[in-house]
Amino acid sequence: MAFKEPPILEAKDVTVNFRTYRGEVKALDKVDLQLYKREVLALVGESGCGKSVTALTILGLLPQNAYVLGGEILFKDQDLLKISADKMRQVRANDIAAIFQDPMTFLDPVLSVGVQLKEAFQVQKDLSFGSDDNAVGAITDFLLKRNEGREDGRKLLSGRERDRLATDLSKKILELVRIPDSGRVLKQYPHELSGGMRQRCLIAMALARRPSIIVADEITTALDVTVQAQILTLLKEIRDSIDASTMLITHDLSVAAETADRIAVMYAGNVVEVATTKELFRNPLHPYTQLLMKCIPDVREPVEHLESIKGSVPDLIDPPSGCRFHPRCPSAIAICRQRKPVLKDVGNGHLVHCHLY
Amino acid sequence: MAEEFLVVEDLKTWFPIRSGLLQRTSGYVKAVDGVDLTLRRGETYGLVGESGSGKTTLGKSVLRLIEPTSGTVVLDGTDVTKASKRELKKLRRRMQMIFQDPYASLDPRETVGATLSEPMRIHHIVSSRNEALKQSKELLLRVGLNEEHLFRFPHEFSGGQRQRIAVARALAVDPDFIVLDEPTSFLDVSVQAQVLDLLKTLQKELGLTYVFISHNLSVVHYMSNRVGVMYLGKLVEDAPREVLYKSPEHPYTYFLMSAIPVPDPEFKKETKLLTGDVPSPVNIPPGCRFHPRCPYVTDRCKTGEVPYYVGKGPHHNVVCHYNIDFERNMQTPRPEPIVAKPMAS
Repeated sequence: MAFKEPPILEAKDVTVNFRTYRGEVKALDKVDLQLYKREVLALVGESGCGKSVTALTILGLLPQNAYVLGGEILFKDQDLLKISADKMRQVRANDIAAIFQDPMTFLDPVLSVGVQLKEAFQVQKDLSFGSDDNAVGAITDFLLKRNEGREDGRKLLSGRERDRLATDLSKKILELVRIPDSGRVLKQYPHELSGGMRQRCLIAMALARRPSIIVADEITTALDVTVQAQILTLLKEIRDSIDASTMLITHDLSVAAETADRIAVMYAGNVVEVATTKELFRNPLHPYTQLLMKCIPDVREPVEHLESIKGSVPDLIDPPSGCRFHPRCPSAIAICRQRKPVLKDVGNGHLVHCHLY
Repeated sequence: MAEEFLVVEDLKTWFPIRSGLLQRTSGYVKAVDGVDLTLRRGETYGLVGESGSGKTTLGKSVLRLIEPTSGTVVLDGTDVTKASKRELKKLRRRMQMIFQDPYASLDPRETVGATLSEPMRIHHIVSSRNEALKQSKELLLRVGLNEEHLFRFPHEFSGGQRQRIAVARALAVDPDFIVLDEPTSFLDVSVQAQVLDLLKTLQKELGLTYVFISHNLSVVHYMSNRVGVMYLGKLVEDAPREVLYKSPEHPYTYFLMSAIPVPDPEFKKETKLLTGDVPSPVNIPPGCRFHPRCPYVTDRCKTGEVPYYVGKGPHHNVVCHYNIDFERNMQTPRPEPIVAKPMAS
């Protein structure tokens, strides 16, 4: 797959540190990423590799003790790291939506699903859906093209009308994420729903504003495999039916293999390898990627001996010099200890950060 | 056929739901609802199932960490369910458990040495503090840590190391039976294999018998000789590993297998999706528990308990009325001979 279009989101040299009482945690070290239109890009790595921090940086939701040392995140001709908090809120409301791991924490337990979902449609006061009473028409209108606020020649709706329209839209969007009996679900509270249903509701909320980017952070980790399969299928359907790009963050290479178009493998705050899913699995280049693939047991062809990577993930307060993987790397050479490898493009959009290439 | 080391018969663990002013029992959560299984010495029984299927409760009930409601558990000829308090303490030396979360199962205020010596002291295995420390050192070496770790606290260790400490603690009383409850689900994949290999090596060296609980079918395959699939408190299928993975016969097992993501983007698999979620164990559907989600359901499935049928493989038990050809979507009723109890492996 060649990408002729420019990426809709591009992270360049993003470096993020966390201040902790033990010292500075160098969580992200010059991360480069491109997200193209309508693709699912998976960020894969073990815990502490910086995949979630990358997501939070893009969303402008880093905690208080984190600070960005450098780099830029380009989206719609602006640098997301430089715009004001208010503007960032607008971006999150209209362009970049997020779905997180634990749906129970991100749904308000004292409000019904309907109230929370309708809120998503009503954030912006002057959001109008036109005057015609034909709600279905308005919905299809709304679902088909991005609603850029108020359209000329149409009168603003009254509060009650807007509420009714928001309810109709909420029902529609729940149907979009394959929730049966959406009218009843709207009246229910999060605790009455199963894990899979809650996650669907969160996805519906994320889709409500027709974002151009969806950041999905470990959205299936808390779910059972049979439900995980349902949600991943849904994610693919959404990609096909809506013009949105997805950044799928997961620790599970198998999930990435089934869902993503491209995969970026992260290790200890670095992106070590990026390639299309097929290319990465056919021809993994970075030693870490190669080892990681051997670690995951495959149900189809079970083995008698599972590989592991010696040692454990480094402490990022004092990360290894040079290539951060070198202490665990079986093919490390002298230069790996001294210098951080530069990005190598080996063709077909396959990028690798390793001195061996 | 070798002697059976662990025999579980019709084990039930129900938790009462109390409500109202008088806290009267208004119903039960049937977490484990009639499980039979047998296991030979030195083998591993893998238990798989989704969350809420009762795997952990079953594991704890077998050890009587939770009192089972009814049924029997016989460990090497001794009835665990009927043991008195004193007998149970003796039995505890033989059966141990390793828990899922090594961040919660280790006391943060005790050094590793203290954590390891405590069970030895309680069971009067050692006579002095020095002896306890000496044995703790040996245990640490055995699980791949070293003696300088003895005086450190759990927070100084990584997840994988903590799970090694938990393994060492279980071994401190020299048991021959260990229930492992999702021992690697908190660990990263690159470390997971280290711990699994350690467990396998220890099993060989010390002749341990394991019940290995996990929701991860691939990990269970790696570890087990025999595998049972749980759904809503009952085993729906139980067979030697190869048989279960190659030719599952219960529709739930089949769908569970096909839902597992495969680490190969070019593998064209037909994703067959189950609809709905696992029902609540408070309102267990009548008849076959799986029938509301089963695409092969008939009227026969909706009433009456489903007995164990003999599956096609050796020592293969299936709780399903039908013989289903998943490829061709055909189903035929199973021939009558019904086994009242599952056959031993």
